[in-house]
Amino acid sequence: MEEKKKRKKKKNHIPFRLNILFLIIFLAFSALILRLGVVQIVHGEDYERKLEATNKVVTKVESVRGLIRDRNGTLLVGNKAEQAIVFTRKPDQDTQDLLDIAKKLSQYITVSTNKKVPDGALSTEQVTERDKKDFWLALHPDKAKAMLSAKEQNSKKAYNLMLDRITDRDLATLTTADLKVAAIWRKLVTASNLTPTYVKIGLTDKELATVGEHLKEFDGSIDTAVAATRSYPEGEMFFLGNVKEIPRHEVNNYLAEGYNRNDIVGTSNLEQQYENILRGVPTTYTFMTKNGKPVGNPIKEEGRRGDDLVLTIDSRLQKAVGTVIEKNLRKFHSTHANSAYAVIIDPNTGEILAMVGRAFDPSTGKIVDDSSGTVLKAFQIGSSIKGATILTGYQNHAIPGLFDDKPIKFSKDGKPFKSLEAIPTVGPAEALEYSSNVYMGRVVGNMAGFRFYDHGSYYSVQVFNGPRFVHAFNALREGYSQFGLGVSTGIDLPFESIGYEGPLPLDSPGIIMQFAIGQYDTYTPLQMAQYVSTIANGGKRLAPHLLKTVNEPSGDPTQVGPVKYRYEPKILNTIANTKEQIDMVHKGFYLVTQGPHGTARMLGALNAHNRSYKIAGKTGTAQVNTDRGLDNLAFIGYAPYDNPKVAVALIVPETHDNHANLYIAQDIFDVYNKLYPGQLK
Amino acid sequence: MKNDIFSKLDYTLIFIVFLLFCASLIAIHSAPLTPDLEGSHFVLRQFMWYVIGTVVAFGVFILDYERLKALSWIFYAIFLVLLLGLMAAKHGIPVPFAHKSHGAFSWYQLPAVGQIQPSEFMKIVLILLIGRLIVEHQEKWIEKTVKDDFRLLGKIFLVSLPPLGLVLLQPDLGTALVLMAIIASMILVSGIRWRIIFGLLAAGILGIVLLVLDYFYTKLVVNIVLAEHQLERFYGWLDPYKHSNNEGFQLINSLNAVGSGKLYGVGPGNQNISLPESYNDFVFSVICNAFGFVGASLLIALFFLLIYRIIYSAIKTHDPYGAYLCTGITGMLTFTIFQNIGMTIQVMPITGIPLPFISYGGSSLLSNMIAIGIVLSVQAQTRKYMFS
Repeated sequence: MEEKKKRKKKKNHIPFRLNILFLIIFLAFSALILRLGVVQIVHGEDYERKLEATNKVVTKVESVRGLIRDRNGTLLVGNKAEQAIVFTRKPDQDTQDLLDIAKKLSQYITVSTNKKVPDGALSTEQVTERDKKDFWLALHPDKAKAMLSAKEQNSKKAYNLMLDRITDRDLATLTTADLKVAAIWRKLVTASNLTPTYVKIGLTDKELATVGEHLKEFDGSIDTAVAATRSYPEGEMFFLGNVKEIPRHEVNNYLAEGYNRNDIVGTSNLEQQYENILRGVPTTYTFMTKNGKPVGNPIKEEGRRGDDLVLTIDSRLQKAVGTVIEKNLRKFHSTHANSAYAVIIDPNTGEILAMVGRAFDPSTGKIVDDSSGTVLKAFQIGSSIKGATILTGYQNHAIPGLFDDKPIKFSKDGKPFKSLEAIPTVGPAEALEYSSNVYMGRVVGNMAGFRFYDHGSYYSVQVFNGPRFVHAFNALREGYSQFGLGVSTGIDLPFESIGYEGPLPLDSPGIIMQFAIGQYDTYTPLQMAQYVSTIANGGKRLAPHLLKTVNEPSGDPTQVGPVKYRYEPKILNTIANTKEQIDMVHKGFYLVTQGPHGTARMLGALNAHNRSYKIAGKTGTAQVNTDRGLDNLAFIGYAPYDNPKVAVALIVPETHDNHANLYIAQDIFDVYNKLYPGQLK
Repeated sequence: MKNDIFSKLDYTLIFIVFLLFCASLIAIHSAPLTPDLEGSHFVLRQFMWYVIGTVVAFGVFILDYERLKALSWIFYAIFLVLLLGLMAAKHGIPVPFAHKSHGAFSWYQLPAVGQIQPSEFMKIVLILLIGRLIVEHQEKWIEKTVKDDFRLLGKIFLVSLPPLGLVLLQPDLGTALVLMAIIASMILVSGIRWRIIFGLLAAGILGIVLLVLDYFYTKLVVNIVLAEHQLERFYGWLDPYKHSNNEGFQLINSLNAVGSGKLYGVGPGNQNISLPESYNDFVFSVICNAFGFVGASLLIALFFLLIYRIIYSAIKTHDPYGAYLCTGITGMLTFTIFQNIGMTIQVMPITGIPLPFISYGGSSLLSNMIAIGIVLSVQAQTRKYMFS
């Protein structure tokens, strides 16, 4: 009986604990219903909206790119319509399906093996190393699998491992025929679902007919259409830039901005710089999907063609300057003139009128266009820098009074620092007229705290490399940068060179004198143009620019549409000099061409009878190779001297002293005067 | 005699299961399928599994759970060997019919029958065996000391840990958690002192806290216990919009489907959702989408009734073994339901376990139907007493 009672007692714990269990279960289920209420009733609308968003597929088709014209409305970059093959990827097509399509297509269209093909054409040269590997893996799925162990096949890195393990020998098995298929295939695989993608642009009539006959074989994936490619009616000019497929390493940036993987985008210079304007608004197609498959007709949202650019460039001047440079290079080729670069700019607005470079190609002996050198190549510009040196000297209160131009000796037997010809007593303007090196040496010597001693026929100088020297060196460089020398000019191109900066010469402080006469740092012709403009316009450093206006597309393709945006002159800084100081340099530059001893009298005093306007400027000769006697011959100048309308910067690098710079400068001003009659008076 | 058998059946429980059967067919029918699965007759096959399940449940009912108790050690041995076989297969030893799917070695692929998941059956076997251990322990030690309680706990752990470990290593975290739920619920009802139970609970909580701390500071232990993909599962759960990995993606899809059902649902056939495994692990999201909060709450209520009925049986029965079996089954079903529904609405992290009676799947349905057979059998025993 007692045992039974105990048993009963033992048994009794079960219902109690089951009730506890039941309570826990009740609470758990209540929590579920509560949470369900939050998700479905409180946030139901939000989730519904999110769900709707996932049930849409938006595809984009790029609109026609904007045109580019020069300042006179001449078309520089246009679009031409060409026959093309369009591929539209379906959601259920896999790599192998695409391979089949590529193989079939390769029978109907030609694929070039040349490196350079027109935009939109296919070439086996477009197939990159990575493309080859991807293609090989698609071609040999079984062999690819065999490269991995069972464990590796399931790893996330399986594909990368396969890529690593493909040998050059494997890739060598790809025949030219294979590569032609690969050139097509790589276009197909980058296509996004439901987005029409050009496979080949520029079909011949025969290709068009053949593909047209076989369209049925492709089950709607392949179609023919009209595509636009860029055309260059006035010839290619470097600053226009290129359009190309999005570079592989930048794909993600472009995807983030709403591009498709295989869109054509501006990849250099103006096409890249003004991509947003030229691109326009793509046409979008919104498909509704049901279980991941598109249903019904897409909603079309019409895009807008890109806006047009009108440039500051005058293509007539651009061409004419090219012609005069070529003429002079031929003329002076015997005296080692191999290349020349010139920038013509409006000093009051920063509008670039022409940027021209020409060079002999040593392999062919022919002159080729090297106009990009005006922003990409940098040179020592010799004495043409002296205007900036004088003004920097003023800023640092280092301009000496009148003094005699005599050689400066650093040591008894060393090579003295002297002017090219013996010059009498000079002030700042005469120092520019005569191009006095000694004067400049004295200016920066004063800045650096050097001590000069007059020995009758020469000066001796005691140099220091202390803090004052360091400060002077940096102040000189800072002074030059106020004119744009050695710094970014702010041009509207994605890339420009800013030249080479020499190290701080603590071991031989006397080098600061070379720096002061343009024989230390290097500068681009564009920087030279900004420098001369800054002096010409009275001290404002303006950003040089190629864009004049952005215009809406016009109905009539021969007309420029209404202006949407106008590039306003952009002042980057104003130099820290008084008007009197700047006028002193103007006077010096005037004397260079008009004075009795000017170094460019050829452009003024000597030719006064056949020139109706007056040029001011400064020549420069940088001794870059004393062994072979090669100098950089530079010229910067503007006209008319008292009311500058145009500024010119030019350089003929590494040539004998043949005055090629002056001949080219003279021709450029004459060409400008002919194109803009009456402007220079 | 035949009449006798049918008079002992609990028709309330059977009716609840019948309603679940209807819900299952409707849910699977309205589940959107990915193109590769279109044409697989899931509804028909589920119907077939229900027929088989009913026969098996009836078989278990006829067989009587006392006989299952006698066989429990043998079942245990058989399924432990099957689990060991899967473990061997995982380590590259060739085991006939062993099959890897979804990255885990959990299945045997049998010709004609299809896929069999031993861990599903191990759940029932463990309930049978732990119940037996408790009953035998209590018959032996009537006046229990603390030491005796620990002895019982030791026995339970001794038989539970091998299958639990093997399932964890497959790796199948979901089923392992269900096993833990079974063990925990049976320990709760076994009569072990509260002190010990709270001690265990405290130890468990402390363990989790330490694990979380370890994760933030050293990551020494976490990396041993949880594989990288399991950790990702937690990230995907905590912030699915930031961690757009597979789990995060599934959760977002599920939440979109559930939420857009709103109060009354979009109606079956009007859905436009994309959910992988919609006929299986995420079938609840489909129901929520089609039938809204009302439909989903009804289903949860139905589950609650089912569990209420099983606990009711446990309380009613005079046989402690029967009560323990019902407890284990309660623990199993409750946790599975909570986990599956919870994961579709971001209450629990995503694990691959199906919704009992609703999700498509033979092994899971069979083991659940066996459980129903056992409950029916326990109730029949109770009625026998009542009538005798």
